[in-house]
Amino acid sequence: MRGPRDLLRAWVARSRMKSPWLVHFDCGGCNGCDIEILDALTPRHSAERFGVINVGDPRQGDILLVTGPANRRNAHVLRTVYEQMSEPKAVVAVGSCAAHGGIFRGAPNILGGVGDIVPVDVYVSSCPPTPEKILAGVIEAIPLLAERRAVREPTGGPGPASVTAGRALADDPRWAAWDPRLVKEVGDADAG
Amino acid sequence: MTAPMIALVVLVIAATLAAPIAVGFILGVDRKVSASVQLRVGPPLLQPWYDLTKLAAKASAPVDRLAAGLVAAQAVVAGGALAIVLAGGDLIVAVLVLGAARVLYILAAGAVESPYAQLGTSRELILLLVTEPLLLLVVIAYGSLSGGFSAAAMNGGDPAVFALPTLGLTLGVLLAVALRKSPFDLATSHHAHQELVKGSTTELAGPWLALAELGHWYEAAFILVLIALAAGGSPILAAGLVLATYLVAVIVDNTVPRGTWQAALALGWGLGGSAAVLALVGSHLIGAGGLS
Repeated sequence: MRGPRDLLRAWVARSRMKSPWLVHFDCGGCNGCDIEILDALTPRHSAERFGVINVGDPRQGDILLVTGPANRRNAHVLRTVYEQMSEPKAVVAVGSCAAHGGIFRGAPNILGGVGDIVPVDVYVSSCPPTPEKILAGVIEAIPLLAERRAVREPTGGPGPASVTAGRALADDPRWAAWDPRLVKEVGDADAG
Repeated sequence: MTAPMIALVVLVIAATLAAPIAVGFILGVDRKVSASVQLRVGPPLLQPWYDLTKLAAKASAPVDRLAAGLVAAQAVVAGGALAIVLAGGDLIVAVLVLGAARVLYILAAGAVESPYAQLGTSRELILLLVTEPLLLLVVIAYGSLSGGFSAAAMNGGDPAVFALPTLGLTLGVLLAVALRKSPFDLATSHHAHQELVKGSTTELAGPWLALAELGHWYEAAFILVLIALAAGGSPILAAGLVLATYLVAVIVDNTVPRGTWQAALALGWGLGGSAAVLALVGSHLIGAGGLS
């Protein structure tokens, strides 16, 4: 028999998972992912059925969608946006650049993936990912909003180097949202 | 206090606390209907409640202290305005108390330095300019029909809807504004097709945003009760009137999704204002004449 306190807690957890408001931050990629994010919010894909709303204020958001590679210019801005969001919150890195720097990796102004700056919960693969994939990434992050979580450190991100090193993908939860085909392509390109 | 009076007070408090529950449900239906008009599936029916609970349960983000206090005050005062009507009190007083709540909200938006919030402040003032005279005109028309301004007399009298049908237009305009959906550049509702940065609520977050939302719900409840009063105490007629007016508001919002504040001013005063003046003349010709 559940008491009123348990019922309230269950209702709050349910509400948090039913109302994921998005904050969208572009670190400076090619804007391909940003256009796909906007696509995901159009009536065709109808993100509102999951309670999703795109908000402009980080303090009102629950899920941070990051696109583009982390770079020297705005790494601190990304960090500030992340810190301004209040718990419970989650981070979804959208696209290859956000994962490991993508096509910009190795450029003098690029630090790498956004996982080096903020703790990323879900990586969405592809360049750019389809709107369906972005929505799937957001849905993946929704259960993380049920409870407030402890302060998390930047996790680092999946990089081309670790792919060529032949790391066991199945063992690493960070790869869960990755498309294996893409991993192979990145690995092949680096090997060649 | 006598026993019936205590019972009345308890009833009024219970009804005031329960009003947002009903409004949340109505807003959920509204979002579903709007979504289907726009060929979307739309959020769950309980979405407004999910949003409010989530905001209330968020870890509190730093918010300007003055703005936070003013927002809390506006929610309480807006609830008070509704309680006055539900208790059968003076409609003029209720309208002025609701006006006070809205002024508190505007002050809250203006208390922070964000340029978006400042823009929201001036736009909210324009909305106040549209709705406050119309609200007073509606109440005066009601009053001159029933011979007094008490909500109880209005509820017991002849249905105002048959005597003053044009008031429906004015109340439709008022409802459209109270729902914060149209005009789009003043919108603070959570419909998917609306502005990213919500002006007046820019600097609010977490529980304080939930309080601002609650105040809006009370304002919507106030207008809905004002519409229901035109039924003269018949519950079925009241439900029909609320439904019909709400339907008009949804249709207006979806047919002019990019209407601006200039349009709201012109439409509000042009259509809503002239409808109210017509009703006022009518109420003097056929009313109880208690005010003449």
